[in-house]
Formats: sequence, structure tokens, C-alpha cells
Amino acid sequence: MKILVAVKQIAALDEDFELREDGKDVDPDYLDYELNEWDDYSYEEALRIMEAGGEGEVEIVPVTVGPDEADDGLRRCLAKGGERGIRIWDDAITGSDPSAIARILVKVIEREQPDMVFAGTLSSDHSFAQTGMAIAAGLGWPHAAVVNHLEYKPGDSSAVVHRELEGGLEEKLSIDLPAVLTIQLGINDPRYASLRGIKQAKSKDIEVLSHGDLGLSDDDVGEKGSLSRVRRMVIPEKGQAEMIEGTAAEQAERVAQIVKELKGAA
Amino acid sequence: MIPAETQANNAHAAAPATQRPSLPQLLEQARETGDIYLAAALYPFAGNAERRALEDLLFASTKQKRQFAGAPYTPAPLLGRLAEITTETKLLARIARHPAVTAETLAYIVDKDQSEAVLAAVAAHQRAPMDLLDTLDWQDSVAVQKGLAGNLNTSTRTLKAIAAEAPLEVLKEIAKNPNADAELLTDLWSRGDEYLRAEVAANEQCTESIRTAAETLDSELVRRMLAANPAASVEQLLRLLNDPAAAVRAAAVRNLLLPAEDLQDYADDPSRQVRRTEAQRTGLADSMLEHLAEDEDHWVRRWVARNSSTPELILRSLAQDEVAEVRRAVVRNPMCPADLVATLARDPDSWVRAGVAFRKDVSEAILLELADEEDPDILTGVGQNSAAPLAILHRIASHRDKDIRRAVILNQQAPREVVQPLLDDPYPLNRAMLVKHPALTSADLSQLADDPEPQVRFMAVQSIIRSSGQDRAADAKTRNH
Amino acid sequence: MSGILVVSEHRQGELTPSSLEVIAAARQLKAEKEQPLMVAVLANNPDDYASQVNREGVDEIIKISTPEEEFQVDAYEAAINSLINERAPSIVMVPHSVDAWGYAPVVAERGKYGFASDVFGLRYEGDDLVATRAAYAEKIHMELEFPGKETVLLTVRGNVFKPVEGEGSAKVTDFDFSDASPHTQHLEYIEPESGGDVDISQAEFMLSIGRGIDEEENVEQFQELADIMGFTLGCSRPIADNGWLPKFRQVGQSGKTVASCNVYIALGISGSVQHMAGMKHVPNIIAINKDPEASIFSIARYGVVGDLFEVAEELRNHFE
Repeated sequence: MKILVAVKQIAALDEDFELREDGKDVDPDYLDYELNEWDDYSYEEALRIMEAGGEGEVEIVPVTVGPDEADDGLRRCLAKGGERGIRIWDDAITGSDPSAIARILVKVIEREQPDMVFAGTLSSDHSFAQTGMAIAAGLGWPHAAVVNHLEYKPGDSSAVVHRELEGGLEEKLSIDLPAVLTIQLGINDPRYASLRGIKQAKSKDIEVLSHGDLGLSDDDVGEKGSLSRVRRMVIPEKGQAEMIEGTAAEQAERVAQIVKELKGAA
Repeated sequence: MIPAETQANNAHAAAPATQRPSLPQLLEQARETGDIYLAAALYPFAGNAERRALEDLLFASTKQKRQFAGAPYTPAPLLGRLAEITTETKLLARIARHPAVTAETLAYIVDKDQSEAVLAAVAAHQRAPMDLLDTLDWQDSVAVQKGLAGNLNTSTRTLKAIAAEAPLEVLKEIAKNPNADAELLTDLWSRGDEYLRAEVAANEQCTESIRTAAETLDSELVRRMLAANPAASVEQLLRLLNDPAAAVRAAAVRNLLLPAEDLQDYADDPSRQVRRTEAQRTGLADSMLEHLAEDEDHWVRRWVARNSSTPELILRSLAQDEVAEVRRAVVRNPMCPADLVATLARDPDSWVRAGVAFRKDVSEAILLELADEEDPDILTGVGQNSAAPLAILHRIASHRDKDIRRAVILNQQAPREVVQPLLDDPYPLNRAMLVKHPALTSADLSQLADDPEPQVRFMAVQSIIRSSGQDRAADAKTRNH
Repeated sequence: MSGILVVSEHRQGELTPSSLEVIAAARQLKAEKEQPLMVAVLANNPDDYASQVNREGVDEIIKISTPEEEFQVDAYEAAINSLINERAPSIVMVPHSVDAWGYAPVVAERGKYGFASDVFGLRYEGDDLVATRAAYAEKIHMELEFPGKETVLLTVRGNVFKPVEGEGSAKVTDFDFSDASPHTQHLEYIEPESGGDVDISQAEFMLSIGRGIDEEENVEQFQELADIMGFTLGCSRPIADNGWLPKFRQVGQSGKTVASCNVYIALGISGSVQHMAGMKHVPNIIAINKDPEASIFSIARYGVVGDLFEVAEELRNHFE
């Protein structure tokens, strides 16, 4: 039994960032990379299934699409468990949207033949909430998005999941396996890697593949393989906090007004 | 600063006995691993030549320069050097906003770059000295004017000059500044809207005639601010106690100039806001506290229960209040007698019992009992308690909940054997907080200096160097005797 | 290729309000470039919903009878894909709902349509559609284009477009699709727990205090303020670590995520990474802090630089 977990190094903005000269993205000089918050939860969910199974019964493999630095994200996962990771990258992949990324991951999944695929519900940089479900489409697998509860044991032919709907409502449903699930924050309480785990992860195997290795052509990835293309990025005026000026009395008056409006609208 | 060689020799001599890495060893480690956090921590302690070598590492990219200019942990000498090597306004402004930057560096930056961003940052900086602030050009920038107006180091002269020309929003800042003198405040009062006048009325320096005028003004806000003025007269406060607006009466009650005994007649104020405020005052007569302790509003009773001047008898009755938060307030009252603490240790509400666990004067027997509970707040209190027995500290230190384990890390009295296993705590924040624990040995700190978390390494290295400095001081003392 | 197709959604017998917002967004595009506006209704018995979406500007309502009354992902995908094949709309718009998170990327991938999610701005540049959405925690707006795509599928952000009103005169048609075998089975809905103890993860309005409050004696006045304002009191880690407030009120990495929060007032919280992890998603963060450099301002919608005790005292007077 094998679970493949798709993870991503997301880009976080530095303060007073600037846009790139072509205006199509942020100047990389102002970006810091870290593992997507959702991935801590999806990987934890896989770890728990692995630990509930017998010795060697369940294998979990983190997979990512990204440049060299993305190894950090895989090692962050491997420090908690799992023996190997897979990273796919080459220059042609630059400019891929989530659909093209999903196409790459589909090829990895076809090669790895896992019994279950997890991905984060969304990634906090571009927030498309697309990759996981696009993988399911490519595979033709059953799928459920925004899963915040999972009942499953290795060998089961179906699982029970909860989808977190609007307004705190949840839907309980059963889903045939193998399936692709996108995992929501709060499904579990992710662990922190032990210092020993962090050390060990440094020597764990990360297989690096190109899109060609997976039998994909240049047209399948990058902008050509994408369902959208960035035309430009703009910094909105409202991106920064509106600072409320004046004396404490004036500030409080404005805060009270904002609060009353927001409470009234709710 | 001690010359690097001396420092190195001393530290080196001490190393074999304590296993503490010496400064040269740490510098070597920083260069070898390229660890910028280690380098940043060492920078203030390194000699000139070593500093240049560290700078190659620290300022390797514009991204890193920006990072250090803004990071709260960046030491002042590093900020100073960064200001020297850059001409970029954005970066200089970032450095000028940094709370750790020295007055010298601020002066240097102003000399180098007079952009509005830089001047506004310096104008608002708490470390900017008066003479530097006096030289800043504020004429064309409201941002600079505002910075100066709000700065406690700005001279009265500069405040007056700005006030003569500045817009209302700046005047409001000036009105709050303790360096605004009576003359300036009188000027502001005459030019002010309600909000500005309110600030003037609250300023200690404002004249008696302004205070008198404020009292009769048809503005609740102005009267309320007047009632909070630490230089108001008792007679005036007594009159404000009868103000039609509850918020004004409450502000007068809060003003410590008003003797507590004068509140006696106001214990039945119809406004709960006023009674709640009264219940917070110390020095109230017992009869008044007794009265307030029976108030229908549980917030009033809560404040009485927490009030350090509340007599024991009243505390005893409030300890039986139906509202758990009132009982909790009793147990958080430093004057709560030991037997009452013991009773409340068995309160049905866990938050009340947690209040017991956090008391410094609680008995070991009670702690033993509370240590068997599962409530995280109770266990946190027990783990932080300096009176907790060793066996219990060990148990809490190995609790599966990372937040409960942190309690012993925060317990300054916990011996090394308790905190030592937490050097390997998987939760990075716990290790970061552990660095400051007094029981750690130099070997422990060395281990933390190798931690995967940058923040932990940074703080560990700082501790190592500081403690070696203390050793040197101690050595020198021994030699001198 | 022409026409706009809106897919409406419903749950537990109610049309979702966002369905009417999406129709409004579609009408806006229609005004820019005249084209037929179709609204699809998927349910076992779509009749009721069909009359509810008959709003001004809608030209055709397409009823699709699905095996289940409620949302089932495989049926939605199969139905929408075959409807697009038959009607060849140039734009398909659906709410950016949790249901759509499940089916929209699949529909787009299967048809290789252009796709963008969480769109809040739409316009034509010549003949080309441009969709605007946010990135990097709303600090950037990205404009997307869809070169070479004859059909573009968009999920539309809620609470942006004003729900369309006014009765329409759309023709109503039926559409059949070859049924997909379902891979999921609805078991039940679970309603959020209510009442009982304070659960900050369910709170809609929160007032949270941090290190800036200085002393335990000061906690109560903020608790009182929260009480007066009808807000739920929360705190940052140091407050809970000190035993000043119970841990169940702690927001952040070692506390809870305030998942349902709409308004979050942060008083004297500088904004550690750990704290922000639990609340940075809140749409209306009001940060009050004396330090203008506090990181909390970087995620706040409104910022107040000032003395938190003074502001809190003043604030209270507006709610007494």
C-alpha cells in the first residue's frame, strides 16, 4: 500500500516588495520560500495511516514540482517519516499553471501506482485550489475536495470522508478508492519533526526527474500546457492596511463604526 | 569592546573545562557553514578584521541586507555597518525604523540621506536625541512633523515651531506630548476642534483656566479627558463625579488624585461602568467594598474579588460566588489566605483551580493533587510553579502536549536534569524559549548552537558569548582579590 | 463559440446566494459584449430552482435532472462537460464554492478549457477575456488571459457582485446527459456544534489580546470590553502561557485557528508567525498596536497605531 502526497514550496512576500520588470510576477528577490501550510496536514494524515499499519505495510512518498530549493520542502516532510521523495523540474516547466503541474504529477502517479493521493486544498501563494482535482481528472480517479476528516485503513475499498462546506457545515460521504483527496487545515494536529528526523532526512533519497523522463513533451508543460497565462500583476491600493489616524478618541470612533457596519452586515 | 585577541585567548583557555566553543571556533563555524544567523549573533563580539569577513557572508545579497535591516534580532553594530555600506533609501529608512539602531547611526543616516522616508523614520525614533531632532527639516512633510510631534525627545522649541504651521492632525499629536508647555497648549486650545481640545484638557501641563473652561464645555469627550488629567484639582474631580455622563464619572473615579474616601457616597451610582471602576480602586472603605461585593453586576464583584485592599471576610464570601470568574478573581488576589486557596484548589471549575496552580505561595500538597489533573491550564501552572516537586516536573517535561512541556521551560527554578531532555524537543518554539533557561550548561548551549532552527542558534550563540564574558569578569575579580 | 453559461448551486433545498451573484457577474459581461446568458440548474427535481434563477437578463434556463437531489461530484462533472460540448459557450461561470472546488478544475481539465478560480474582476480587452484574481494573500492582483481557448471556465468569488434581482423571462429547456457512475455517496450533513463552551474556532467576532496588555490585572478590562462589544475574547501565546487566560482562548500555531472569524481585533499583538498562522485568513483584521513596525499590520485590513489602553477605553464608550 502506498500513499503519494503532492506538496509545494510556496512563495511568501517580503515587505515592501516590488514587481518584476515585465510586470508578470513579483521580483524573486522579494520572495521567501516555505512549505505550503496545507501540506503539513496532508502529510500528517499520510503519516498516521502509515503508523497505524504494520511495519513496512504502508509507504508514503512526498512529491513536488519545483527547482532545487524545493528539496527543502521534501526534506521537511521526510524528517517526519517516509524514506524517499520525488522532485520534478527542468526549465521548460517554468510558467506552468496548476493544470500543467497536475499533468506532470499524473505521470509520476502512473509510474508509482499509489493507492491514494493527497494534496493540499490550496496553496497560500496563488490559491487556485486546482492542482489536486486536476490530478484526479488526469487519472480518472474518484475525488473529494476540502476533506477535514478521513476514516480509512489500508486495504479498504472505500473510505469515509467529511468535506468542510460553507458556514461550518460538513458533508459526510463515502468514496471509492483509489482516490485523490485534497486535505483541509485542521484535519489533524501536525507534528513537528524530531531533531533526529531532521538529521536523517538530509541523507534520504530524492529522485529528480525532468518532464522528458516522464514522457511529456514541451507542449504539455509550461505556458503551452497551461489553461491560463499571467497577463500582468498589479499591486492593489487596498493591499496595505488602511491606517486609522487621529487621537485615540477619533481612532476608536472609526473602529466602532467599522465594527458596527461589519456586524450589521453579518 | 574587548580586543578580539584577548577575548579569544581567555575563551580558549576556558574551553576544555566547560566544553564551551571559543569565539574563534564559533567564527570558524560560521564561515565554514555559511550560517548567516550565527554570523549575525557573533558580529558585535568580533574584531574589525573578523567583522569584515563576516560581512562578506552577511551582506552577500541585497535580499539578505534587506532581511537584516528589518529583522528584530539584528544587533545594533550590524545595523550601523549596514547603514555605512548602502546608499539605497529604502534600506536606510528600514534601518532608521529599527528599534535597536543607535543615536549615532541615526545621525549618520540623516547626514547621508535626507529623503522623506528617512527623515520621517528618524523623527519618530525613540532613540533619536533632542539635538538631532532639532535639526531635522520638517517644513515640507506632514510625516516628519507627525514623527516629531509624537516623539518624547522633541524639544518644546521645535514643537512650537511645528505647531505654528502644521495641520490639525499634527497638532493633535503635539497636544499629547509632555514637552508641550502651557503656552503652547493654550495656543492649541484656542485653535482646536473637540478632539484637539480633549487632548489638551488631558495634558498635565495645561493651565488651570483651560481646565476650568473644559469642565463647562458641552463635550463629554473633553470632560472625560479632563477627568483623567493627572494634574486636575480634587475639587474639580469631585464636581465631575456628578457629571451627567457615566463615562465622565468613571474617568473621575479612575483618577488617583481623587481620595478613595470621597467615593463613599457614590457606591450606588446607577451606571455599572462607574461601579465597576470604583471596584478597581484601592483604599476604599471596607463598608463600600462590602456593598460592591453584593452588586448584581458580576463584573463589579470580580473587581472587588481581585482588589488587593478587599478584606479577608469579603474574599471568603466572594469565594462562594455563583460565577466562576468571581471565584477565580479571589484566588488570583495576592491577599487570598492560604486556607481559602486550599478550598478553591478543589473548586468545580478548572479555570479556578488553574488560578491556584499559578500561585507562587501554594503548598506542595496542593500541587501534587493538581498535578494529577488533565486540564492543560492547571498542568501549565504546576509546571511553572517554583514549588513543584521534582518528580512532577519530570512528568510535565515529558508530557505529549508541547504546550504543557513548555511550562517547565518557563520555570526558572527547574533544575537542569528536568530541562535537559527538552534540548531535543521537536517544537522549535520550545527550544527557542529553552535557550534562556538559567540551568543550561555550556555543553547544552553548544548543542543548541547547532540547532536546525536559525532563531535557536542565534540565541544560543549570544548566550555562550555573554556567559563567557561573565566568566571573564568573575576570573578578573578573583585575580584582583 | 458564444454565450455565457452559469451553473447555479443549491444545498439542503436552498439556492445558494452566490448563484445569483454569479448571474450578476455574467450580466456585466453580457453588457460589455452582447451574447446569450444561460443558467443551468442541476437537481433531481430542478423545477423550483429553475424559477428562482429566472432573473433579469437570463435568456435561457437549462434544467438538468441528476440522479441525486443534492450535489454529487461525478454527476455535476458529466453534466457540465456534456452541456458545454453541446452548447459551446465561450464562458462558463460557477460560484467559487466548496462544491466547485471539487468539480470545476476537473471539468476544465477534461475539456482543456481555459480556467481561473476565485475571480473577482472580468472584462474584455478587444475580443480577449481578462480575469482578475488575487495572489500572495491579497497583496497582489493577477490578471489572467486564456490564449487559444474557445471556452473559459471561471469560479467567481462571493460577496463581490450584487445578487441579480428583478424577474426575468427566460425560456426553459431540458437537457439530458449520459449519467456518470457515482464514486461518492452522500451519507449525511453534519451541522456545526453550537452553544456550550466557548469555541473560538466557531466565533465570528473576536477581540484578541497579546503581550501589550502588560499585566494580569489588565486582562479583565479587555474581557469586559469583549463582553460589552459582543465579541469572543482570544489571546496570543504569552497570555495563555502566563496563565492569564485559558488555553482554549489561544489563537495560533499552538492554539486554535479562528476558522469562522469575520472580524478580528488584535490588541497589543505584535504578530508572531505562530499567532498569525491562526488568524491571517480573517477578512477583517483590525490591528491596534503602539509599534508602527509590528508585523500584525502587514496582514491587517485596518491599522491603529496608538496606546491600546486609551483606544480600548474609548472604544468601550461606543458600546456601553
